[in-house]
Amino acid sequence: MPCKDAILPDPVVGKKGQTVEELITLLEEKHIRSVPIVDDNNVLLGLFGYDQILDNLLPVSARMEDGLQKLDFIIGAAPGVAKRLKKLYPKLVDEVLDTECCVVHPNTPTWEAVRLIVKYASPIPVVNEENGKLLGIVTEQSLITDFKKIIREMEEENTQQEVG
Amino acid sequence: MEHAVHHAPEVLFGWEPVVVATTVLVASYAFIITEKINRAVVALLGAGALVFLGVLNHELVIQGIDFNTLFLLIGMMVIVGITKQSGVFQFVAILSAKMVRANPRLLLVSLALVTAVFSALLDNVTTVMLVVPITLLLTEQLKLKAYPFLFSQIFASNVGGMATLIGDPPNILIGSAVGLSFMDFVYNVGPASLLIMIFLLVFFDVVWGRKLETTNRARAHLLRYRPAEALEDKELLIKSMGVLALVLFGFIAGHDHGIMPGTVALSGAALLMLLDIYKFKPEVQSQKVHKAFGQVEWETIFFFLGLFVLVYGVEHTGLLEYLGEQLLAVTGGDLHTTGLVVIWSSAIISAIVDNIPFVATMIPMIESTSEVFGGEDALMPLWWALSLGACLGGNGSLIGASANVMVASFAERAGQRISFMKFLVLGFPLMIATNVIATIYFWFVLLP
Repeated sequence: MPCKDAILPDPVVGKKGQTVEELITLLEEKHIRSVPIVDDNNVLLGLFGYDQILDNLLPVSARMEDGLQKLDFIIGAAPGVAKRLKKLYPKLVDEVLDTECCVVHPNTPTWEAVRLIVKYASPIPVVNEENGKLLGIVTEQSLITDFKKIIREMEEENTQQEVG
Repeated sequence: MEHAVHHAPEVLFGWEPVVVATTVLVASYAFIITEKINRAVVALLGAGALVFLGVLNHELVIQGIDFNTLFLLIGMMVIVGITKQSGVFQFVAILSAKMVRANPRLLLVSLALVTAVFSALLDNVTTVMLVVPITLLLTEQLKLKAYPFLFSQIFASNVGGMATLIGDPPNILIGSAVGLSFMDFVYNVGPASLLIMIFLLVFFDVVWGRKLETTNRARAHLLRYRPAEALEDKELLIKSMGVLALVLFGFIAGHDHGIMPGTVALSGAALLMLLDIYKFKPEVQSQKVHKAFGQVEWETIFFFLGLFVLVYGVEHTGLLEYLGEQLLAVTGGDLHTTGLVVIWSSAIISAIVDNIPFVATMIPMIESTSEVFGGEDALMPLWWALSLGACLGGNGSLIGASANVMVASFAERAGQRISFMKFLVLGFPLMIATNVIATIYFWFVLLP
């Protein structure tokens, strides 16, 4: 079964050229954790959300591969971290978005979508395989909703067979 | 099978073994130097080629492999891999920053010293992998450029590593081939390492240290760090330190009883793994042991393995003996001149290419000159010359030693790229200066 049935079309998106501050406001207003970022032709550029914001607040020595594994020896760092967030506000989303995010296509099997969400967290953007345009997103909720719908359909089918 | 093992090798098509072995060695070194193909793969392919072409057979391959070096490397890698989980290395680095009250000038000195001491007891790459991330954090906190700190740590790791048998791969190779003890290195090369380190600290202070400035606020923030929090597992720390102490004792005391450093290191690794796992169920034990062996840099181990076979192949054909004769022809068989040639050629060549294959090739070459100089004992100054030159030469360029490459890689990831030329402009003359100090020490202390 492909995951196209679980797609949420017309998701909230961010646009290339928006600032981090604008997008934080958008995330807060819409009560969502991340948004796909697209260009003027609706081609997906990456994902941006609270994960990317927090990642950019970390010292570079903790963010890098083979870097620091713990920071619990740093006491009283909150004001410094807040300053970093303030510095991040005017940056364009293009500089901080996750361009390596995984994507699925409408015909990607549902199992694969489930695996990707379990491994990389929700949402997973769904793009057109040929032109990279954003078609929607797949989330934990949309997948569960789709599975519940299938259960209902199977139960209805069984009931009909029993009646028949 | 018996027949296959013991028959004398015959080179394919009747080719001259020395020509075949030299061609394979030169081709392998060319690939290793250009770094187009992974060095471990090149070394293994070269070693395989010597067997398939008939220069070596299975028996000779086994003879050529220095298992003591491999065991020493594997054992120490496992011990360090487990020990670092305790957080002790971060603890020491943070503690040293607090001890100098986050004064940038003193911090430059203290972190270089920490790097040098760690490098003497651990391998250099591991040392910089542990020290550089915390350095990047401290310099970011103090709003300082990381470059002076990283530069000084490259030098400190190579100079500190020079002081002991286990500190730098050239020493491991020399020590294992010649049967030198841990204390032989400490007594003979240690003072040179100390002298050069003092010179470097003064130099770094003049060039950078005096000009480093930060705000009181940034310092105050760093002084709030709690080093004890960096210690992740105090029980493991005690076990690790206990085993490390035993291993060091084994290196020192074992030599007189014929116990090789490789045996000591592997036994220490096994003991530490036992102490780390004995409380757990078999499944967890397997996971922990698997993780511990995962800490071994197998690429390095297989590189050494291939290299030993390659060099042995060439040695077996008599080429290195011939080169040794040529060396003596150049130096007129004079030990003093030969020592100078060894120390300077090692330094210059090690700055340009990986010093491990160079040292591996030089060892049998120097061994072949023992008759001329009056026996194996007379060769001792040459071994120290090789150690001094090869270890110090690694500082001559950004690709001179594996630790340099590792620091550069960290700097790049932190957005503070160290360019090859920028490092070379200061690094090469500074390496020459340290080699001058080493030469003076060699001349007055190590030569008879």
